[in-house]
Amino acid sequence: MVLAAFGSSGDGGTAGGTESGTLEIWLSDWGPEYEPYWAQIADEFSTDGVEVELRFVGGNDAHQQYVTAISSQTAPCIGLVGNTWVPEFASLGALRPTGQSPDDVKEQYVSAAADSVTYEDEVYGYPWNAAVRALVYRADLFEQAGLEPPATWDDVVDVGLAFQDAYPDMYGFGVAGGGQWYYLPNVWAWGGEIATQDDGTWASRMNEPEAVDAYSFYAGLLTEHGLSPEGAMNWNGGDLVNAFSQNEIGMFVAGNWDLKSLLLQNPEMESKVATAPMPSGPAGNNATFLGGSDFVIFEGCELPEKSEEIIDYILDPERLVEITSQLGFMPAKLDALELESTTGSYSSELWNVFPAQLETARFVPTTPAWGGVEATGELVNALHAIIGGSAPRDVMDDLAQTMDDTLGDG
Amino acid sequence: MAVRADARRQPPLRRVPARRGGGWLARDHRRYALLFLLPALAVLIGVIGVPLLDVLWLSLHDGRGVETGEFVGFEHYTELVTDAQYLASLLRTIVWVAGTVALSMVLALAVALLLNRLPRWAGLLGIVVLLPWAMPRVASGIIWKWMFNDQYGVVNWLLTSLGFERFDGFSWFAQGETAFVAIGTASVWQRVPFLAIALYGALSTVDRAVLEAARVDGAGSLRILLRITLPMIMPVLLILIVLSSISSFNSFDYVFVMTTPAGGPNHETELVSILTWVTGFGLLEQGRAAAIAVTSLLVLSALTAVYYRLSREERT
Repeated sequence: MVLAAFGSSGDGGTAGGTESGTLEIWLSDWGPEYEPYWAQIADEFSTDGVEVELRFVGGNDAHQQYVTAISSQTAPCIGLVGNTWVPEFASLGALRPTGQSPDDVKEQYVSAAADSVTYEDEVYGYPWNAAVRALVYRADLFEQAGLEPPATWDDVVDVGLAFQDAYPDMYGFGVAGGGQWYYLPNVWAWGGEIATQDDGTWASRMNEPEAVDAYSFYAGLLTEHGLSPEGAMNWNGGDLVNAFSQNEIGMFVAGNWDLKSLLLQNPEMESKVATAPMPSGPAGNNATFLGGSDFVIFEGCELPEKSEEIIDYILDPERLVEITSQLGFMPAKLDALELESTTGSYSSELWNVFPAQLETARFVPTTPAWGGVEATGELVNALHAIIGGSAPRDVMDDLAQTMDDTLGDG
Repeated sequence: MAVRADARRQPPLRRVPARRGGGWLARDHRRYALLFLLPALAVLIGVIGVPLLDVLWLSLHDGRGVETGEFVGFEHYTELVTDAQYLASLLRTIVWVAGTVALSMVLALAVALLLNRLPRWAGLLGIVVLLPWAMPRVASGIIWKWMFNDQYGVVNWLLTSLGFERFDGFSWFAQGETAFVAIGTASVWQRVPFLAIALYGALSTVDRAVLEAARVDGAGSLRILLRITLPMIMPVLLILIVLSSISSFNSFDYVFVMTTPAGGPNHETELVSILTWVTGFGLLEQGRAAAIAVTSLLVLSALTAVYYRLSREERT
């Protein structure tokens, strides 16, 4: 950064070409398969006195590294960050507004991805990767038993039980009791809300009847209907993929990355699996979470225009689809998503469900305190308490109380 | 003058030739000792003193995230006294310490007695026994978690094969009690080696002639163990109990790695250490977390005082 300070030609320059210095990009999505792509981008833009440096900031402490960099003012120019961090970083004043209006962004990106970069009516980032869950099931076994994939959560119970009747050695549905992402969206599908903002104050709504019912129902899949083994109360995405590949469960809610890793590890499964949209809840919707990552430009960046240039280059639809198709993820930008789902790796019947599911995807409550709510583990503890036999109402009252304490810190 | 009078009454430990107006070293040796100690002292103050004061300071504030926050005096402490979650975790920690220390001491003593009986193999066995101790705890925690896996775990397979049918698909981490059995097994497995080697060391100092004499007088093995061996190694035993209680009170890694979310299900394995972490890094309530840490520090200081006392008695 020191080098950038000396090399910079004044206040950000007037045209992209006049900026010079070191431009750091921090990436959280990495792996050998990404390397050539990023190396090429770095080469492309390391000209005219600008040197692009790449740094991998991943793993469990990635968030901590960003927060430390922000507080010590050593943040990079461009960061590719988990989309749930954007409201938090924006609230710290660490991000440079893109200057776009929230409405414009809604038109260009998947709706929930646009929400992820919008904080207090200002836009702070450029969504890159959109990730979403749908239903994955054993088409071969379903067909043999004459079963159809469930359309609603009530169907999940019926179909799951019928599946267990047909295949007594297997379980009907993979419950992921250890991963809040697998059941928290059901609060929306039951017609409730997780937390909402009123007069600038965020409040938990997890003790309202819809949320209580959604949690009770999910707990019941395990306790009342026995659709998964008892240990599933601690399962997470990885455990679901394991159980499914070991012929232990007949269907499960899977992220597009879960399905990808399932097929990478078990190529023979490709002919046996099929996908269906997320089951709907009593409220008639099948809302699910939007995961993914966004590009942001940090406030202290000495080369903001060059940074924008790089991001524009990356988000060019054809160029973007080239990489998303090669690596098997979905672009959050609508023009690229359209290409990806008609001609790219998501155009097949198996994968097409995910782009469609993006339409009903929603983003977590956009409070900077959301990360804290997740980190307490209380969203999981509440489900465990209900599974353990505590009265759902009391459990959810306690949960709402704890959430309010944390949300109040935001 | 009083000091000199005292010094005359007690015989000096070593006779130092008194040289009137002797060299600078003799005259100033206290001052120089201090000078030579300074670097070590500075490091100790830097790495222990400053953070300690910082935690104390933080515990008196309403800190959130990276902010120190407003000064609130002893508010966090008075809240803790009536906080059900904290008190439950404290009680849980006490039971945990008592259980794991008792179990690991008994097992360690058994291993030590075995090593003592097989002096020729003691070297090799010592190395084998030390392996669990040398293994990184996070790594072994992940392995233990797998071994206790409900579907694929070797523990359930073994128990089922032995005829305990109810362990077929048994979920160890579904209730606090059974989760503690799994975590406790891992923790005891990890700490027995060190204790066993230390006890073996103590056992080898027991005079064989005394044991022979007892045997000649007709004492049985159990009687010899309870009446002669154990009393003779009692000082070491007590020190080990205190040391192992301290490390048990600080247990964090196995619970953190093996439960979902840490301290789960639903807080049922939440030890004080886990609660401190959740409060500080989950809820980001740094002030309150610091207060919990200070209360733990008080408990540990008391244990350390006992240790210090015992080890002084051991030396004299």
